[in-house]
Amino acid sequence: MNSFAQQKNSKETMILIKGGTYVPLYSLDSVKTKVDPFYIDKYPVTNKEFLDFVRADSAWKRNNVKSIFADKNYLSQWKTENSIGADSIALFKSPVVNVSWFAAKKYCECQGKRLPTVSEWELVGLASETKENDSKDSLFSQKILSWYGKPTPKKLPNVGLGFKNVYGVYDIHGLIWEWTLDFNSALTTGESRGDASLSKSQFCGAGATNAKNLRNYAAFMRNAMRSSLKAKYTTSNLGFRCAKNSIKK
Amino acid sequence: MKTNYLMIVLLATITFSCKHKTEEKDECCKKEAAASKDDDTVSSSDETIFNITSDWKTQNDATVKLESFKGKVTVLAMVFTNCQSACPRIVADIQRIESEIPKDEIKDVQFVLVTMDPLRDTPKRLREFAAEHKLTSRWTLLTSNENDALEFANVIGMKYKKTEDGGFDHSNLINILDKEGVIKHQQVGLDQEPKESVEEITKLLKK
Repeated sequence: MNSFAQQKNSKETMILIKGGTYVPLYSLDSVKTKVDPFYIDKYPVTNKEFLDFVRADSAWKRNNVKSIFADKNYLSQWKTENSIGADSIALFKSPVVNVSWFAAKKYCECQGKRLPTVSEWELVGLASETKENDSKDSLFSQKILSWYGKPTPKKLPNVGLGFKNVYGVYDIHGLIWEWTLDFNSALTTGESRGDASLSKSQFCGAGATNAKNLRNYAAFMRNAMRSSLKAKYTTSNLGFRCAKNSIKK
Repeated sequence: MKTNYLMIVLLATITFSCKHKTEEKDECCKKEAAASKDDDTVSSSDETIFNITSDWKTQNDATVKLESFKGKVTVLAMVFTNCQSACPRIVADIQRIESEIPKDEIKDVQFVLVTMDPLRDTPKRLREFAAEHKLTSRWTLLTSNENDALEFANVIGMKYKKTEDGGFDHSNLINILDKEGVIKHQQVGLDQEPKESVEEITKLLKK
């Protein structure tokens, strides 16, 4: 029981990121974006955790969810709307996927948290095992890209077994893609050739598609992925983790 | 290599599967449980924007739910009133649609602008904007908070991004909703011929 209580301590399950600056991939202003201190979940949210959530809030069960908030694939890896099924032992601690942005957002809000912003997520994503900003290390970039090139395994490994960065945050790379609060701020079209002729009339301020760091191909891929998403989409390699404001600003 | 990894994963799953207990969920999740329904068919009520339950303020300081727009065909766009270029143009585009709807049909059409900038677009500011652009009484302008505006934007598939100078980059999207609040048509980009949207509205009015 004691160890259970300790698990509930957010110090155990969230990591304080002291904030910093991050240069957005696409920005009219070459200035860095300041990121305030925040907490981020140590691990992506697991199937078991999400199951507990839908059991408590049946509006988010597979059979109840409004199609405007999640597509048909929502939680399709589970046997029923209430149980993970025969694979439950294998899936309990693997990251929950096939969740929409709406569902992910609601889950975090019910924990007294929120989804991380793109800036916050990317700031954490800059960190390698040893450095807080290792984005200029080509080996580190290569490692991320080689993961992007691999197909998603049918059964995702458990959280907490893979890549751990210098902050102590697990699986930010190498396991799943993750939802961010303002993913819909990625205004580019999905593929780079499209960007060159991006219609000025489709986006107000479409000149904002000047990329700042052409070498950061992994960040391009994440940006392209985000810009191709709609909030009700669910896919078998897209999950999330939550974040929280740090009281001390 | 991959097989080895899977073996490790499987072993670890068996060994550690009981290590983490999940937290007790707080009460906020439980309240809505009663509101859910049981059938799993997709009906129009599944697709309607009226599923959004947040509260909105109109330019006249009234508090409304989106459901209050039920019963008429709605032309809707997201804007912010400090926008220098595209937003007045998108409003002009909607006014063009308004002017081309036959007189006997217009009474069943309403026009809604939702701000993506609720911090600055107060009801008072929206009232001023409506006056500046000579919007008719068929128009409702809505504001809320950043969280609800973001949720709304994602329901209609609107992209936007705050810029350093306090403005927004955003998609230009005019939505045509049927009387039940389901998006039936989206006009993408500025300066489009209103013909297609007007035809869609006329079609929806007959339903």
